[in-house]
Amino acid sequence: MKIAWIGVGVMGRHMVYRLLNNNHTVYGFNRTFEKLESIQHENFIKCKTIAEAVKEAEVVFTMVGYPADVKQVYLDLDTGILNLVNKDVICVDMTTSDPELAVKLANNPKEIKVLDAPVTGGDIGASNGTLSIMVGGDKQAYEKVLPLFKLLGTRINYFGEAGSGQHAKLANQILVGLNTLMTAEIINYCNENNTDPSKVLEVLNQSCSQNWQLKNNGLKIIEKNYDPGFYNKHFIKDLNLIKQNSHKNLFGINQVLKTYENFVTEEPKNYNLGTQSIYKYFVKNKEVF
Amino acid sequence: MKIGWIGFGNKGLELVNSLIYFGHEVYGYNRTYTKLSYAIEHGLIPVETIDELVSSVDVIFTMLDSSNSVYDVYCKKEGILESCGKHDKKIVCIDLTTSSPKLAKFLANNDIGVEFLDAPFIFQKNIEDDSIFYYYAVGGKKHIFDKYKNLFNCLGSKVFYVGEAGSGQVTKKASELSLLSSNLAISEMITYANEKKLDLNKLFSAVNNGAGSSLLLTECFEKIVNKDYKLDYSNKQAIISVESILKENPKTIFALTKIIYGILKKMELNDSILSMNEFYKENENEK
Repeated sequence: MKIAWIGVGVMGRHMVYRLLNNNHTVYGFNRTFEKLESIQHENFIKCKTIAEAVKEAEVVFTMVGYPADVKQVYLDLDTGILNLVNKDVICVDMTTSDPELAVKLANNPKEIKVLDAPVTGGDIGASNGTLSIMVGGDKQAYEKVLPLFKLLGTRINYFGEAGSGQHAKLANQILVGLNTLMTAEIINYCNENNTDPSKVLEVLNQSCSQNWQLKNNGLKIIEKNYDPGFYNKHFIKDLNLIKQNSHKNLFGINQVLKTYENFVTEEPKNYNLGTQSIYKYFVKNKEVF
Repeated sequence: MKIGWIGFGNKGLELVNSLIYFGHEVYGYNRTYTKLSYAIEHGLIPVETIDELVSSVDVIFTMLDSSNSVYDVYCKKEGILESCGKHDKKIVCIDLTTSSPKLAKFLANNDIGVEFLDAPFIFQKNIEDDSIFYYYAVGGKKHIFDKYKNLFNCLGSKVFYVGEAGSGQVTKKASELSLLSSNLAISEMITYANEKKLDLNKLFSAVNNGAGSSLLLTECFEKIVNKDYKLDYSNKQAIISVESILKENPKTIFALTKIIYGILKKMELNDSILSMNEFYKENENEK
């Protein structure tokens, strides 16, 4: 199949390779063209414009940074995908983005099918093809794309109407957010009480209280490794989307958002650290006393 | 070995039986003497005062309902420390109560010469056969721990030495915070998912084992959705624990712990913590 792929970041790159290795032809576009050089494959065609990438494609995947990028990539009057392709093409946005925007894209006047299909599983899941993919949008279009999804992930769930894939992803981020912040809070609590957090984690990782963040990001905090597996800037975007979309006061996740916003406001370079770096917020504010 | 035991709740009884089963001579004291009768049938030797207990044994386990009870049993008149001083007896005390790290440090620093280990139990679940294990996170002097480590084998599956006095209790508090935040996370996820009319089974399949997953999610999500809130951890226990964390650490930054405390306080005392998602159904929570 001829596939266009817009946005070859850390995740996108791995996913493109999985498509290429299964005999699909991929037309790649990236805002920074040089990033396309990281993919070396005979079935990969590097494109300088979106128009060039989507010209022959049957399916168009997008995986960019923020809802504003999604909007531009699809709706820009000159270079927007929806202004370039005809209604036989299926578009799939895998960015974690705004559910309302997903609805807007799906309801385009040209009746081009646009699915929202954000993923979770990180770069490891992307590379191994074990992502969890959460899909919303037209059912028939979903079924046509399903064989491709199966190359990228092992858990593929169709949630229904457009936007519902995004809502499912945001629901996942609620879990991630609370467990990540509490991991940092617990490690700080242990240090403040002269108890070695690595010993505590060893016990907790075998207990009923175990969770993924404690085990993985907890270890990174102890090793003082604040490199991004997942960027604060993207996390804050997700947390804001949750807040905007919920009509309830989700006290826990709102507190997570507030804490991360304080953290990056104190020091803007924190935007580019990994989510586990929130630990530094607890330590730094202690010194104020 | 001659072992003393104070505290005969359900779990206390179970552990006393286990010690007796492993061939130890166990002496028991309880404020309400009648509570001992069941254990006596299984071979417990009853005593009527802490003083008598101290003079009979080399090691004392305490397993009480709260920090306050621990303080009373050790520090009040005719308590363990006073009795030990009177008999000039250098016994080892192991407190299995979920209690306060500060109190554990205070007790370990006694000037009577009583050795003290804080060793609260922590739940572990074997997913394969659904059985629950207890294991112990122990704080105190390493050489005392090493000497008495084997006793824990009679009381549960595993024992971890964590560090100086109080560390066992800190570990227990950390495990409670972790469980409570996973629980809050599941509650808020369900609240969001219901608002967006997402299929909860599909959502579970999408998020389980991912970066937001927890053992609580894997084990209890279905139960929570079906309003089966049984869990051996009540709101009341959670409140006591979180309250003491906040009180004992006035200079430590807490973000979620305070939020969790606020929500727990608004729930009914006898509620299971698993019912936290019900809290979000109430209208007052609308923005």
